[in-house]
Amino acid sequence: MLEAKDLRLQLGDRRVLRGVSFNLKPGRCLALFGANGAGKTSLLSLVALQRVPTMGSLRLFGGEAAVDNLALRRRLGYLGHEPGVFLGLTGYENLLLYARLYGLGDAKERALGELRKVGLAPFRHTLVRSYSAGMRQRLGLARTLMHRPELLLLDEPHQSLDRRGQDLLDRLVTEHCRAGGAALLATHETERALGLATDIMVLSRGRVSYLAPVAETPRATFEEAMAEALGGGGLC
Amino acid sequence: MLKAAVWLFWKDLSLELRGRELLLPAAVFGLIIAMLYGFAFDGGQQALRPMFPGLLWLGIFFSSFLAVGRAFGVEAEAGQQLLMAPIDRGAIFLAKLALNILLTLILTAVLTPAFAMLLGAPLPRSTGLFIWTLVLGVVGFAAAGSAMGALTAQTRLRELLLPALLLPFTSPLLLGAVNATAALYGKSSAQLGSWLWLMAAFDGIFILVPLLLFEYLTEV
Amino acid sequence: MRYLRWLSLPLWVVGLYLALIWVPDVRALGVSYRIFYIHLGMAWTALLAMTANFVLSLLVLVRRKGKEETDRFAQASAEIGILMTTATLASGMLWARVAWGAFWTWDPRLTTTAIMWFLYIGYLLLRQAMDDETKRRVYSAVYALIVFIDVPIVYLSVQWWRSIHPVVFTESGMNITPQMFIAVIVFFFATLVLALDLIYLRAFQDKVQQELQKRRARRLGRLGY
Repeated sequence: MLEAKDLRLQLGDRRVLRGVSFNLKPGRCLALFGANGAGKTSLLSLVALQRVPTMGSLRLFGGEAAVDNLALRRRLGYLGHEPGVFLGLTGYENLLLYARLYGLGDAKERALGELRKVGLAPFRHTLVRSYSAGMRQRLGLARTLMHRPELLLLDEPHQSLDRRGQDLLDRLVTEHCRAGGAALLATHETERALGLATDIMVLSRGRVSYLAPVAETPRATFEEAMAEALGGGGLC
Repeated sequence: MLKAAVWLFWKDLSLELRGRELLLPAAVFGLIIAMLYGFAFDGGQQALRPMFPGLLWLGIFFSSFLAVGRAFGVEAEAGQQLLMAPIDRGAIFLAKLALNILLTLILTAVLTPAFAMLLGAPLPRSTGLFIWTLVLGVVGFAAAGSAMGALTAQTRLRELLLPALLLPFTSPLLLGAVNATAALYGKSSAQLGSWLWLMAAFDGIFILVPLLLFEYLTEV
Repeated sequence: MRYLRWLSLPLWVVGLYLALIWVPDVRALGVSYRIFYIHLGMAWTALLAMTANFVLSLLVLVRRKGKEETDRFAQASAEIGILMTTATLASGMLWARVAWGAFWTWDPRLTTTAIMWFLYIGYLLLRQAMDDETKRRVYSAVYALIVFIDVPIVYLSVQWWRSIHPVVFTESGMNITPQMFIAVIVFFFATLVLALDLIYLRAFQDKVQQELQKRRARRLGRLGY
């Protein structure tokens, strides 16, 4: 589903990614760990086709990834640092707009259904401007999942969600992967991510310093990999 | 592409109707300009009347600039997310263009009578041609403003950069609009036709060319 | 391209000799008109540099290979074009002060040149305000194309507005003597060669700067950042 080979990215005089290679198969959920500035968000933005790598190759769904490929975008679901919802529209209007832009059938039903799923149905006619940060994040999640993407890209999706919101997120992502989708999520929420993911990747200064399935990673090994990534050369 | 553009235009329009973030401040700014003309060029309506075409168009351009310049900046974060959707980016441009044209037309419809009253301008020789002049001038400005707005949307200092790019760029339009208006108020309207054609050409070129080139902006 | 520099110097010396000494005075205009040789050469070179910027920007958009290199030359030609435009405006204003009694007149060519100057300053401002290299390349190329189309429209509009500039080449034939024509051509080539040399120099500087940045990044990487 996703094959990254030797991805490199340079921004100004900083080499953000220095040769990242990994594969992601259907049904897998890869949790991405690393210190601030390790390159988690940059890696996600490359896969989300927001940026072109300085070097290296990225294949998505068996084809070469190209920024202008609209068909590829349809199969991606991306939730960034910011939920990216329109504050001046209601929750319902936000989803309705995206349902129409993605060309989904029965857009109205779909938008309402997604709102119900994330528990925002009572506030569907409230402007997002009056939503709390957690509610906005839930709305962002609904928008990300609405068009049934095959590959989910989540950048610290647990942030500003309460416990029930986080449970909901974990459940939705797990369901997504069980149904044959794949997910890539960057996070600092170690416990939640370990419970959710099937694979672990630790980024350290733009390189992959650890990559293995969760099942083959004893706790001690993981702690060691994390300590190494956070200890040596991260930002103090 | 057209369908997506219609939905995006609907989105922009509802944002504007709810927030009134663009039109209202721009209209107030335009009226303030009209008042300031009175103070700056002392001498009452008699002195101002001959300068009416130039003063009117400067007022329209400056206040339109406020609305057009902000159009790409409203809800920029959510707009960034919009780029993830599988839509032609030409659609985004088309929607903004439609919004900008609508906003500047409304603005002009409000400001022109106000300017005429405050500066004491009589009715033009031909109301129909005057409306054509207004529409051609304002549509061109909205088109150029949308193109430059899209190009500066992701820059630092965009609020400062946009006027530096847009105002010299639209100078032929200003010349066309002012001279066409002057022809409608002066003795001879011999040159009116050529000025209207010039503006129409400007409008056509700078609606089409950015639309074609917008494809390239999607690749990065 | 290094030999260009050595071609430029003798051309300037010869050009200056032709323009300032060899060509006879024109009675009606006095000595001051001699600045016109420099003025015309620079004006033509400026227009050529802007045309080069247009062609290179087009190549940046449509060609797949060598985008970085083409982009560097596009920027360099805009910079040198602005330099030449500035010199054109300055020499024109000096002459206008003597001949017409005012530094600035709203003559079509003067006005168009000034607006062109603003438009290309805008090109550099736009580039400066963008951090992402790929984006800067494409966005500034699109801007360059749109602006290049605008310049003739500006010229047409200002032309209709008013006209008092002395015209050198009229439809009926040249307004100057063969001697003057030779001086004009030599001076044109002198400025053209100088501009080409400067464009190469600027593009090279940019390349070196980017290379330095890459090495700095590598060093920072080795140090563990």
